[in-house]
Amino acid sequence: MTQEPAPGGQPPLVDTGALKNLVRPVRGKLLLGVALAGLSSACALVPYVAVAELGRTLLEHGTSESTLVWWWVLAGIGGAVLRSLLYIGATQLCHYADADFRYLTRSRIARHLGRLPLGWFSANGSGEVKKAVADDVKQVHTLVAHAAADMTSGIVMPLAAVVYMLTVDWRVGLLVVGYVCVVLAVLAPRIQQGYQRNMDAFNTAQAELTKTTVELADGVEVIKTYGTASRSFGRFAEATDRLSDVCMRWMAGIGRPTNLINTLLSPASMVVWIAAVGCTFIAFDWTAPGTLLPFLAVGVGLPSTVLNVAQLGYAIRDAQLGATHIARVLSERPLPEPESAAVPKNSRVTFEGVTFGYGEGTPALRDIDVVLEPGTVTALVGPSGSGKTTFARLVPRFWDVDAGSIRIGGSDVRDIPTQKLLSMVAFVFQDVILLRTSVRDNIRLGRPEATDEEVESAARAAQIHDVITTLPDGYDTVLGEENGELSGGERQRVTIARAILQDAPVVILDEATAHADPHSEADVQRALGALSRNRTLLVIAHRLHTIAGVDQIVVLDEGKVAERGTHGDLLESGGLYSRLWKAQQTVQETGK
Amino acid sequence: MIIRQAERLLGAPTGMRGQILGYVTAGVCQGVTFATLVPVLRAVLTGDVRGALPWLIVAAVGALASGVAMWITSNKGYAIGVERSSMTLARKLASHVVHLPLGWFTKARTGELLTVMGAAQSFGNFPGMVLQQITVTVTAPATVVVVTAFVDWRLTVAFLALTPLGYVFYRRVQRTSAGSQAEEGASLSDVSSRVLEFAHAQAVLRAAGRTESGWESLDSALRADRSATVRSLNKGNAPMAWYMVVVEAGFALVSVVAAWLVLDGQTRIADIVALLILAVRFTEPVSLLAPYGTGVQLAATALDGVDRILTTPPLPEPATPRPPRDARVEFRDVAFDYGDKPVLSGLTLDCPPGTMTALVGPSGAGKTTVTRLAARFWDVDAGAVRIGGVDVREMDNETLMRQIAIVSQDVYLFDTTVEENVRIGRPDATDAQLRAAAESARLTEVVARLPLGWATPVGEGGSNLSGGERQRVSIARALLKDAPVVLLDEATAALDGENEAAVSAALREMSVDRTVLVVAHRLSTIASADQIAVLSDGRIQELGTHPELLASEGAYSAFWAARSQASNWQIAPSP
Repeated sequence: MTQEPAPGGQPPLVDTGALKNLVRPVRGKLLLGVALAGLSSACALVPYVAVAELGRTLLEHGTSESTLVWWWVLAGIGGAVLRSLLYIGATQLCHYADADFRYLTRSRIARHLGRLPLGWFSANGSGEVKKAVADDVKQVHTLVAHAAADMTSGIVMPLAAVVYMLTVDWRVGLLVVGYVCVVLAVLAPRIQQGYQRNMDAFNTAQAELTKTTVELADGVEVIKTYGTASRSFGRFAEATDRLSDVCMRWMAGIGRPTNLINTLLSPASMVVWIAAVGCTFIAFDWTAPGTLLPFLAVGVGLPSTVLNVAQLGYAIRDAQLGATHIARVLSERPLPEPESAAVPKNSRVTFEGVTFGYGEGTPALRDIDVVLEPGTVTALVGPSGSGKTTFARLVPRFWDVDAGSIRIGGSDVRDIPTQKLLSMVAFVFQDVILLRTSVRDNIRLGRPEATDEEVESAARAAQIHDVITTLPDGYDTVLGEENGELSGGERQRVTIARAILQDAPVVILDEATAHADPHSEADVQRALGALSRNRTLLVIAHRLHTIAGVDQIVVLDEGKVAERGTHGDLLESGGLYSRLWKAQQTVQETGK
Repeated sequence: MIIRQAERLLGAPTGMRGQILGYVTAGVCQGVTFATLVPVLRAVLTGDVRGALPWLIVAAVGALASGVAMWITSNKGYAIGVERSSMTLARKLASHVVHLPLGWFTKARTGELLTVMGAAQSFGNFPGMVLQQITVTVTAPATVVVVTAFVDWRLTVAFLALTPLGYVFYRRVQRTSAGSQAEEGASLSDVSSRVLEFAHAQAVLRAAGRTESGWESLDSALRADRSATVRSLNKGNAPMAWYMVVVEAGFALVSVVAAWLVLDGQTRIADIVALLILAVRFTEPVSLLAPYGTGVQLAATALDGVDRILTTPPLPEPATPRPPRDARVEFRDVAFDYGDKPVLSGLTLDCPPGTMTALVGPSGAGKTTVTRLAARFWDVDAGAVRIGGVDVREMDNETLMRQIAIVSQDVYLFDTTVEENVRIGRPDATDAQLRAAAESARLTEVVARLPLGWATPVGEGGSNLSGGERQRVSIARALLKDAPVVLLDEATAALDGENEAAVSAALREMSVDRTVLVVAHRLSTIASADQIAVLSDGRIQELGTHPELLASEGAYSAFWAARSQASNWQIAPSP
């Protein structure tokens, strides 16, 4: 039960409606499963009743009523068999419902993700996605697969038992049921308190242990070279101590009342209590001797079923937490699609009075007016945090602007259908994204209908064809995490080949890409050269000398355009750009 | 068996046998209490309520004894489970793992370690809950069965008749559940990674207008997960169902035999009624034994995981350690491979004290491996690595580590303050030493910029700092340690201008008076080295100074020309 505050505001931690909504698609199967579970518990009582009634029959009539005796035997066996069959059916149904639930919920989340603004992914990272799809779904799954049915059994069975006992003899029944209720009423709240008091501490301690374990593995190089006595190792030891401590404190808190309940309500104690009460009643002739039998048969097991239900409460809370988080992801607003599709006339990109912020506070970009002419190169320059990446990401509509507009070929990007827009804009950033599929399909993502020849010629242009042909299965080699057949620079060139095949008129690239892998720097550079030919090119620049020859340099500072012009113009004007240039030149000289 | 394994791993008796004894006592006493129902009902049903009194007292004593045994054993079980078992296992794992060769640590291993840690924690339930459930559920009915022998042996036979068959199915449940758990786990992790890929590649997928194609691979993973669940369900539930049917059949057999005995007048009504009540009472818990058994299964799997890690051999320590004479680093005919992939073969290199050696060569040539062998992250397969004339295998680990400071490419910082992270280098450093190291590492200006200065938390893995800043922290850490040998893996990723200048200045400062072995990417670093070793095919191809190697016009001069050209690359050549 990790409870993370959601980004932005404090939405309710648990939204009970969320669980109901989420489970709705499998409600039919689940309800049927639950109904079977209920029926099974009702049948489960039959053998107990049968044995008790069989005893009473024998007591009243001796062995003369043999047919009746056999009927009770048959009823007992029938009940037992039915209880098992129904239980198995119920479990099976609930598990089927669960399999459907997991499938439907996950595909629903994934489909929803497919419509969210790209910016959502960079803001929330993959962690949020994984939590919803894997962890949260798993939390709810326990409820669907197990808890719902167990809960029903846990309620139906004791209720039926209580009704049966009260009809046999309401006074003895009250004493038996009352005893259980009193013990629970006195001790259960104390367990509850102990649980709540230590739950948070336990969760924290456990999370801490997990974290220090990860540190131990990831930071092992440091730990090894700085000695195991170093503090880093101590942190792990501390974490285990703390967890152990919390566990013991927790046990001290709830252990006593729990043990007391378990002892007072144990089957043995129940036998003694029922026998004592029953014998007293019989001794005073308040009831027939046979009355004892139903209570011994049914009453002894009463507490254990009730206690099981209490355990399940936590499963429900877990499921609610998970469902609430999933509902939050599903309620993220998708990017609105235009009603009528605009068709860009050319590849001119225009920023008009663009202001954009990631939320409250100072906007990341303010009043930006920039034009990227078709077929020219524009470089974005500025200190880190000046808004270069944001600028670049607004073109493919990672987010929508707060004010102003961005147009491609005269059409507002918000009026261009997502697929059309993204097919017009190719971007090559430093993070390489390859799918776990064949090299060919990875490249072909750029244009699904491309022929094998076209894929190959894109790979050649990206300087990667020769490398691919040396792979075990050539173009059909499946790229995976494990088989590190391709180096960083090679993987990068696969994504460049993809962009080349996409043949988008507008290309955005991060200049650092060209230097990310020193071993294939030259190849990556050639690939980038092939990609950027004859297109409207926007470059996020770090090393200024690589962009000295571009058509236009836009210098950003604190989200505003500080300067613009060619390299020569800007050096002459002696502003921010010339200062940055001078600083880098010094580095290069001292470096060499 | 589990207990023996646990004690072997823990290296100490766990007291789990005591636990079993305690629970057996509780179970037997519970059984005795139940068994008193026979004489109690005999008395009551024949109208002699008073005659039931002594037996009621026996029952009460039995219940009390059972309660006390349960109470004591459960309390102890918790202490044994948490303190003596799971936390001890966790600590053992941790201290063992840090002595394993670095080669052991891969991304997958981090996952495995986490899983095993979690499993070690869940093992804490074993000495308490799991043992209790199983032991009591078996011993209480067993006691009653023994008592039946005094009533009517034919009933005893009926009770026991189906036990062997039940056991067969019990075993089968345990076998199938282990398999299907593994299968479901695998399919879940596939689902997770597919979804992550889908999320990660959104931009690409949408650009291609192929949200559908990314969707296909995800959808097939999701469908596979569904059918894996259904399959394992169908497979796993069958033995469970059979087990339950056998238990119910046992109950049926007992009822029929009992009815026959009593109707035939062979056994007293009271006895039969009492035993039938006990039979029906125990049917349910016994039918739950199979699911309880999976608890044992889980505990066994947990121990196996722990076992696997704890039995991975650490690097051997020398019997008679020798101290190094100076800071010379030598590689003599070193051969080394990662399992199947040969990395170094016949590598010989001499790094005199106080000099800087730059390692260059294509990716995969084994440059980083060379520096890591010097720190004995692995042992060589042939040849020797010596520091100060002494084989690293003949030094004790602590001495070796005192000689070496490492600045690696992916700098790992612990989730604590900047100061703590630097102080790891030397926990007892004075403030003046700390400041001096920071000054040399160009960290002072970073600290000045941070909101809380030295006390600023660096975040998980150092995520609050930029790559260049992280590197400066790790350089300060290494400087503070003041080791005579520095092993350095220069970052390949592009740093921004400011960080690049600062890092190279810090590295220059660091190489004064120290033996430096650097995996070099920056041309400036390479050119300023005392000697440059060009690695190719697992050995040194060329060795010399920058001017020497340039003049010889071999691999190095080609490399230098290519790199120089690349560094002058322009995105759009000046018109």
